[in-house]
Formats: sequence, structure tokens, C-alpha cells
Amino acid sequence: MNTDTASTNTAKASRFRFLIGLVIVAAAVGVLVARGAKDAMVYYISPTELAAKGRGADVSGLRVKGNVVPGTIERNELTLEFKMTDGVTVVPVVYSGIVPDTFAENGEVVVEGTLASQGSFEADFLMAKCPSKYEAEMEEGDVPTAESTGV
Amino acid sequence: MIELGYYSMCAALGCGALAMVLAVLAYRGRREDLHDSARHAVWGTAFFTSLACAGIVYAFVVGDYQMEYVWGNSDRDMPLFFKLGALWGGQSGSLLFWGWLVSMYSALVALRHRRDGVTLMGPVLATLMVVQVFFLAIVIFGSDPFRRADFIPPDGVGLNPLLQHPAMVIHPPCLYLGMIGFTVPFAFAVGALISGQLDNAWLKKARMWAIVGWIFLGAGNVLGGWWAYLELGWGGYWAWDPVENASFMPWLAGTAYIHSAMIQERKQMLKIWNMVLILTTFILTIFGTFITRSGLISSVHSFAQSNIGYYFGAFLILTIVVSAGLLIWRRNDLKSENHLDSYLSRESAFLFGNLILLGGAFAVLYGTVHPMFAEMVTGKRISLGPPFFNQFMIPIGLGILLLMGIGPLIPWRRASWSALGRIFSVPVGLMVGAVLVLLAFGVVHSYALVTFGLCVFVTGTVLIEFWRGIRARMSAHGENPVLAFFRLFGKGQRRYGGYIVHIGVVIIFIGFAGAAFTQEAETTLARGETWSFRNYDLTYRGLHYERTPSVEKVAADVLLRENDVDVAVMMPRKDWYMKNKQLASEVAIHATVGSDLYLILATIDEETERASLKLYWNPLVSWYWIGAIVMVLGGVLVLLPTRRRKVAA
Repeated sequence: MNTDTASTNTAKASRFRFLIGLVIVAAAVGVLVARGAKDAMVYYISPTELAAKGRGADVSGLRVKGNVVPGTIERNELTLEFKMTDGVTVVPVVYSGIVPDTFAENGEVVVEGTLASQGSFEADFLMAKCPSKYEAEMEEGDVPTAESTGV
Repeated sequence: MIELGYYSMCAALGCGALAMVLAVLAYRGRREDLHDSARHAVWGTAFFTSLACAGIVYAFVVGDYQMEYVWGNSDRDMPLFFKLGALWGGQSGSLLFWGWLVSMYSALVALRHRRDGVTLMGPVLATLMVVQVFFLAIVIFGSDPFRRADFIPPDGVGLNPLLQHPAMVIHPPCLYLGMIGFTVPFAFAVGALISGQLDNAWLKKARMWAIVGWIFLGAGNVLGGWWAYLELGWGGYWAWDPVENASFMPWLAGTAYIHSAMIQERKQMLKIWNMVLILTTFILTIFGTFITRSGLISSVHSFAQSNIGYYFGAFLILTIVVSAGLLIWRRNDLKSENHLDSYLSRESAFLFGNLILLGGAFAVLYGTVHPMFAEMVTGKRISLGPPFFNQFMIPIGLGILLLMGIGPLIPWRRASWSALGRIFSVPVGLMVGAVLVLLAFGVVHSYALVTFGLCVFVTGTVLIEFWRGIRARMSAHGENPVLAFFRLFGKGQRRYGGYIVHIGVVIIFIGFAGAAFTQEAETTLARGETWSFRNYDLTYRGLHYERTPSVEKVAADVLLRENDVDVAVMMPRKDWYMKNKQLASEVAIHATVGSDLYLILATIDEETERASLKLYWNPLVSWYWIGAIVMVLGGVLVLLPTRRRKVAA
């Protein structure tokens, strides 16, 4: 029924409609993603970098990542105090709220909050690294040794 | 028995490679006799992988702790149920389990499509066997679960207590069944591209298998959230963690494929697009496995960094190159026979739905990999958390919800504005009415209002569709409305099952909207003290201790009263696993249709018996779980054999 030219034209129009749709959706998603990428981005810093920022500095939107110093954990009702380190600098942390089950001595911990004037970090968010789903207690390639199994 | 397992695993690799070669030869010579042999080799592979898995399970049951995998993932105190789950609890076992699932899917494909010609099925089986050989090779050469230490330890180290939960036993297999399920439609797509049989036949078969994978993947994701909600104690079920995103991205792309395949089936349009979608879905499953197993992307779930990642990386690149190559080679055979006539058409609603779903998948992909690239470029470690994902995924989700309401009612090809006004006046009226009622009750949260409104809109359109079908049957067959309703599923179960899935999605979105109203509070109570929160009174009545040989448990006994009536005793608990030296909190949840009261025991003072508690009030959470169940049921309904076929058989 259609002449060749007519069907080519419909095909072109169809492809054009498709492309316009693609561009509109891609642009909309792109704008949505870009709009918040800057605001929602949180930087990780080490305790050493935190100390270098100095007291009273604005550290909002920062996450400090380090390890829990053994023997420094003190719990009192809803307040948790401990010291965290990156192996160089030790920073005392005060946190109030639910402590994840995975929080433990030597464990990796991430805190978010502000650096108080007396040099301690007041955290309002605390995250402890989950144990691996794969390989519960050992790294890939570890083998049981007489020592680790108590033989 | 255990040795037998190891040799079976090796035999499976050989058998899978043989099946692959036979399938290729059968296709090249178009020989049905070789096709039969290839099918038998596929079944042989499934037999040997099953024996291999049985070997591991047997080793767990008898406690062969000389096997490193058994040593690392179980101990003597572990209940049998969890020992069975330990097959997929660790890296190497889960990879073997993955290989077993590939072989089971392949065996089912070989069985179900045994009468289909070798021209399509040869390349399909060959593709499945490439994936099969890849997984078995990784297990045998990269991460052997049968590896033994040179001495015999008396006991294993046990499984992390947080993972010893029924949800964690069924969540991984469900997720794997979903991820691997998409291998089958991928194999059909590759088979169609290689053989040039690009008509509706491959598409229908691929779509059916895609729905199987889609149901499992969706259910697996929800089960993961259920585990997190019960076990992790932060009051929520989804946190946009890379591990969660890894299985959510292929789900989004797979959802897009399932929908646009319908357009191709009916209108012979979007052929290239459908190929791209199903290839992308499979690539996203491999990509998800790659990022979660390689340790490339930091997640709160720290996966063991291992060289397994390189295998997956190589396989990922191979898949992308082969897929793109095949598409370019066959591009002239994938021309549409029909055209998109107007934006006001059902085709266009499907297409926009597709684009938004895929856009969502790529936006999540961007958020997942961005921190890794940013660190490579700037050297600074960054994190993109839930606020980032929510600010684009909420509008994307609402866009999909809107199109779910428009798609089923809008006419094909070209609709006029006046026709649209007539068709949508009732659902739009219902939506506006619902929003006004909510406003009158003081609900002013904008996203929640839009969500509730769209939920009413979609439900309205689905009900109209059901009513049309029922009325048609009533006048055509003289049936009463109830009988007509059930008979609808007999003839059009694909269509009406699909609508049930949509109702499930609506229920899930109501659950999402509830999250906008979550409240939290925390306090410390002495014995006998009462804490008032909203219309609840929580009375702390003391501590309960319980001790088993491996676990010390302490629970706070809290009496919950709602509007001055006793409703429940809540016992949030802390368990100390002595051997693992690990704490596991058990939350107490008082779940109702309206809201969940979620209580966590934060700390206790053993001397004074003072207990610190944290409380989340989570409105409408139950709707999320209920919606997921409805969605699965709808999906299963779509897959049921049609009544007509049953009569013929």
C-alpha cells in the first residue's frame, strides 16, 4: 500500500520519535543524578587528616575512617567512648546511639560528626564494617593452622 | 563420598566442555543426532555437579574439618539446617553452588525445548555450556572447596552468627536463582543472533525464562532486606549498599526487557532494543558478581579480596565484546516492521517505561562505581549514601508508577486527547479525591502524597481492566461476576497475572511512602519504669538471662501497651557468641498492618539493671513484604500453563 518513499519516511519519523524519547529520559535522569551528586557526596579522611584540620574547623560532611584502639572502649548507657587511629594519630571519639554488633577492638570503623573544641570527635553516625558474607573469619587463601585451631 | 564429590566436579567440567563442543558441531552440521548427544551431555553435567554439591553437604554433615571449606564455615554446635546452608555460605562453596544452578537451568532448558530444532537450540546450549565451563573452571582452578589441610583440626571456626538466620539461608539461593536465571534468556538471544532465527519464537521462550529469573531475583532482593531488617538492627531494609545495587540493577533491566518483549511480540518493533536489554541484563548480573567478589568497591559488607575478581573481569569483557559484535553483525536483520506513530500510544507508554527503568539501572550503576573512579582520579575516598540514591530513585520510581497506570488503558498506535479524557477520567478522579482526603487528614509530605495518589490511580486502571474483562465474559458466556473473575485467569493469565504483579508494586510503593513518616527515639530505663511514645506505653520489667553451651543471651522484658491496653511483650535481646567472640543483637518487632514498633536493646548495666533502648516507629513496613508476596504470586500466575494447552495435552 505504501510507496517506498512513504514507508522510509515513516521509519525515519519513528526513529526520530524514539531518539527524542531517549534523549528526554536520559537528560532527565542525568539532571536528577547530577543535581545531588555534589551535595550527597561524603569524603573519607583519616584521623591524621582530621587532626590537621585543627580545632573548631568545619568538618561537616566528612567521614573519618580508622581502627578502634584496643582497650579504649567505654560504654555508658547510650554513650560510647573510644579512640580511633590510622596507625599515626589517635583521636578520641564520643558517640551516642546504637552501636552496631560488628563494632569491636581493632575493627574498622567510620564515624561522621564534628570536631569538638577539646579535641575529641563527636560522632552522630557510626558504622562498623560488616564481617564478610563470604569467608567468615579468614581471608581468601588462609589455611587452618595448628595454632588457629587450637591443636 | 567426599572424594567422589571432587572427582564429580572435575567430571562435570569435562562433561560440560563435551556438551559445548557437541552443540557447536550439531549446529554447524545441522545434525539432530549430535544435538541429542549434546543434550545428554548437558544432563550428564547436571548429574555430576549435583554429586559434587552432595559431596560438600555430606562433608558438612559428618564434620570433616580437615576440609578447609568445612572448617571455615561450620562448627560442631551448628544446627543441621545451617550446615546445609553453609554450602553457599562461603566463597568457594557458593561458586560451586552457582555452577550447579547453571547446570540445573541448562538441564531444564534441554528438557523443555527438546523438540525444538538444532538451528536455534544448538547455539543456545553451546552458550549455556560456555557459562557452565567458566564457573566450574573458576571453582576447580581458582577456589577449590574440596581443598584439604595437612592435619585434622578438632572443630571448625563456625559461621558468623549474624548469618545464622533462616532468611540468610534462603536469601542467597533465591538471589542466585535470579541472577543465573537471566543466563537462559541471554543464551536464547545469543542463539537467535548466531542462527539468524530472529522471529518471535526465541523471544517468547526467552521471555518465559526471563520471568523465572525475574521472580527469583525480586524475591531474593526482598529476602535480603528482610534479613537486614530483622538482624542488622538499624530499622530499615534497604541502604543502597553496592551489594544490594549489584542485584537491583539487573532486576531493573530485566523488568524493562519483560515489558518491551511484549511490544515486539505484538508489533514487531524494538527488535534491536530488546536484544540490547537482555544482553545488558545478563552483563549486569556478571558485573554485579564481579564487583561483589573482587573487593573492588568498598561496601559495608567487606568481601574477601581475591583473584576470583580477575576471572569475572575477563569474563565480563568477553561477554560485552561478543554481545556487541553479534549485534553489529545482525543489525540489518533486526529492523522494525512497524513504527512508533505517536507519543500518545501504548507503544510509547511502554517505551518510556523502558527508558526510565533502564535510566534507573544506569543511575544506580553510576552511584555504585563513582566512588571507585573518583578515588582512582583524585586519590580521595568518597561515599555516596542513601540520600544520593533517594533523590533520583524516588522521582524515577514515581515516573514508573505513573506509566504503570497509563500503559494498560491507553490505545495502541495513536490515541486522541478526547479519547484519553474519556478513558482516564475515573482513575484520575479517584486519584484527586484520594489526595484531597489525605490533605484533609493532614498529610502534607509531598512525595508521600504523590505516591499515594499514583497508587490509587494505578489501582483504578487495573480495576477498570478487570471490570472490562469480567463484563465481556458475563455478556459472552452468561457467567456470574465471581466465576467470570476466576475464568479471566484461565484464558488470559499472562495479562491478568501481570496486573496482579502491578497491584503488588502498588502495595510496595505504599510501604515506601510510609518510610517518609518514620520516627525514632531512645531512652534509658530503670526496672519498672514506663516510657511513653506516641500512643504507646513501654514498661521495662527487668532482664532475662539464658545460657546455652555456645551462646549467652540477655533480654529486656518490655510490656507494650497501646491506648492503655496490653498488646504484646517485647523481648529485645543481645546474644554473645563465645567462640566467635561476637555480639548479635536480636530486635523485637511488634508488626501490624499500620505500623511496626521496632525495639532494640542498646546497652544494659548488669548491676543496676538499667537498660538503654532505641525505638523506631515504622509506618506501613508490612505493606512492603505483603506487596512482594503479591508480586511473586502474580509472576507465578503468568508462568502457569494455559488452560487451553492443558486440555490439548
